[in-house]
Amino acid sequence: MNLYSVFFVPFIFIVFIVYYIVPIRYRYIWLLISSLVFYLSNGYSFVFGLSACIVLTHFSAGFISTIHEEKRRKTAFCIAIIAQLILFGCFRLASNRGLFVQLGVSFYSLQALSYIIEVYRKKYPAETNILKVALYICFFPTIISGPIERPANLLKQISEGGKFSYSLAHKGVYAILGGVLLKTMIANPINSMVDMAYSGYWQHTGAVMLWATILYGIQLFADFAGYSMLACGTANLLGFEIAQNFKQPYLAENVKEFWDRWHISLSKWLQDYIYIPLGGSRKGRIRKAINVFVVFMVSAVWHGSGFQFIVWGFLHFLYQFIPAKKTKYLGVRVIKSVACFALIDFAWLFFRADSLENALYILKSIFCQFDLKQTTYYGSYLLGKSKGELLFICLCVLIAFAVELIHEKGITVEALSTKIPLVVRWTIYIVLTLLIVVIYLRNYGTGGASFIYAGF
Amino acid sequence: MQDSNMEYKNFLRKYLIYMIILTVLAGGIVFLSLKEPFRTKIVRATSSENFTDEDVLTELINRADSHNDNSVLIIGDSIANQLFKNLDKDNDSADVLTSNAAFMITGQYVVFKHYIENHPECKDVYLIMHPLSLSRNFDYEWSYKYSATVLAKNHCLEDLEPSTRNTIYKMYGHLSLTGPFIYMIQESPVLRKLWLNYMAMNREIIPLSSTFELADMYMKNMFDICNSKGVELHLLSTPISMGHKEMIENITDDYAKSWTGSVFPDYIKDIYYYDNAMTEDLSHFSGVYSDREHLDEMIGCVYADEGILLGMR
Repeated sequence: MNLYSVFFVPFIFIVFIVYYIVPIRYRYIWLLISSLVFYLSNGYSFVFGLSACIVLTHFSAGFISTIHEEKRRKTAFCIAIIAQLILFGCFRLASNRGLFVQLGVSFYSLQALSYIIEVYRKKYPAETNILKVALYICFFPTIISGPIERPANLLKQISEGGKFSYSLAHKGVYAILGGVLLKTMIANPINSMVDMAYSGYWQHTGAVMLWATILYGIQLFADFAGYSMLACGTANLLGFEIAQNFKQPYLAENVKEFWDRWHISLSKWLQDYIYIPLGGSRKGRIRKAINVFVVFMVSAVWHGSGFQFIVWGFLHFLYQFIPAKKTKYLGVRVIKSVACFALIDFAWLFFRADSLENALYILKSIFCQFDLKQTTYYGSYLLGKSKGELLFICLCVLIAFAVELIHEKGITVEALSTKIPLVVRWTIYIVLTLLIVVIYLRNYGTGGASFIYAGF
Repeated sequence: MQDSNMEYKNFLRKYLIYMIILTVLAGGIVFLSLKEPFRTKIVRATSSENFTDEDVLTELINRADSHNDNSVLIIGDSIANQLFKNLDKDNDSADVLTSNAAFMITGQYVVFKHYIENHPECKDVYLIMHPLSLSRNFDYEWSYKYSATVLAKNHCLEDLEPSTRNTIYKMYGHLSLTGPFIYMIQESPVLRKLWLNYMAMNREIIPLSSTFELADMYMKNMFDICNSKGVELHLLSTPISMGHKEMIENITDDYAKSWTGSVFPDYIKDIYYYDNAMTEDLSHFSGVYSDREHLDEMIGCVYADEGILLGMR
């Protein structure tokens, strides 16, 4: 089960009802049980990685908090971090070879590391209740694909107990609806097109591969931002507020700004726990460049083990040297945003390809065998869809883009909807739900049931 | 606190209403897809066209159950079906009850068993299968639709060995093989699409202990029944494209070691390989080669030693 599966609908309904029936001081226990059911429904073998991480995190943080002598404290901290990294590394290596896959290990390991670091830095006290630490690590809205939470936010809310808030729950419902729409209307239909292009890359023209790469940029956003919205919305229903992971990333004017808007929880994590401890920008330009390089290499390795990810990370490292000057002219901003998207999408090509060799082959075909005429003549750009389906997808992308523009102005869809009469609003809900059900059924079995980032 | 409770109840009420709407919409689509006039429209809207084919295999079981004085039964996979289909119309001594590979050896056995029980005059049974069809295991793509549901719907699962029944129940679930579910699966392409894809994504295939495990089990049963009734059982291969030659060679040793291989040693040895140009999918004849005239010619080439089959043309 994931946040998008059909079984999640009755699951969250039951969790929600029982959660607010249970006395507030015991709610975390119910949430922990629900989280374990949710997570282990994907495979019982996942219990090994998760329980090892919980036990190690709880006891190492607890131990660090009891030591007062700074040197010993630092040694204990280093041992705890190394142990966590070894654990994470082993599971990731095994997962990459398909031997012992541990779902969400990349996300919950970072969350666990964040807790140990915060305890060491005395920014957050060690939690004495292992069940609360366990819930912090395996909180079901975030365990599979984040957002990567911090103890000061999530663990604090767990300790305080989630209280029902109508406005938060209302916001959550809109986030869930938005997430489902992004996933169903955009990410899933595009998924089969991108898959078709990339799995048979040698038989497509350069124009088709360029088109598929552009589509992949859109798919990745719709898929991951959709997931993050589902995660935030689900947490909101249960009275939790979790980190915002996306902030209109493709409206960024430069790549630096893009990273302030894309997968924010990971960017912040890398910034706070790697970039700044290494010295950030405080130790001169060369050292800053090295620090940025380290951050992007860590990010690349975190995303995957192939060389294509290293190239992706290296490209983003290079992008950091492009001057990032804001402009107030709309026309220039649009051009800069488009150029920024082009750079990012170029890097996505390496991110999506199965290997560096494939990525280079695709690049070569884009530059040397573009063949636009043949692509349009034979309709190969449709990539298995009909013209009507492709038009519908484009329409959905345009609507999503319009919503992003509205969000950029600081206006939420939720706020806009309150101005619509109740009957009209509910009619829109029903029509949208019907549309979601039909499109869900259309795409069922075409490979879009899981989330791209759940694979990391 | 009281305000919070009121807010919660207010929200819960709306949540419940929405859940009911969602259930009605999703259930409604599935329900309406069972019958016309909505069926076709919903199938198009949900892109379920590939799940609309009718159940043609039930007719085979019904024909096996209906008595006549014919003495020859021809059963087999879709290649055998292409070769022999309708040849029994002008023949008053043979019944052609060929089906497809997904019906598997288990389905062939059920048709055979029913036929033998209802045709005491039967003297010869021809089982004509591609070796890859003969060694086929249950899967989630085709066997549920073409084998398990057909057998369950016609109450024929009891004809199978307990171990096979267990495998079927374990893989597809008891519920999915009960009357109402089968009816809905067969009638609603939307539900069929959901269920087949769900199984393919979430369940695992139970592997065979040897390549010809199922074949051995049911060939032995057929052999024993034939012996007790004085019927001659013939196991023949369909003609096979050169494109499949390597795959056949890969299973030749397994076949030689199997029980079927010891009783029917010539089955693989006698295979007739034809040129790839005669087929598009490497299994069935296509283009001009699928014309009746050419198929008759092919029967003449492949089954030159089988007088009864030659006489069918």
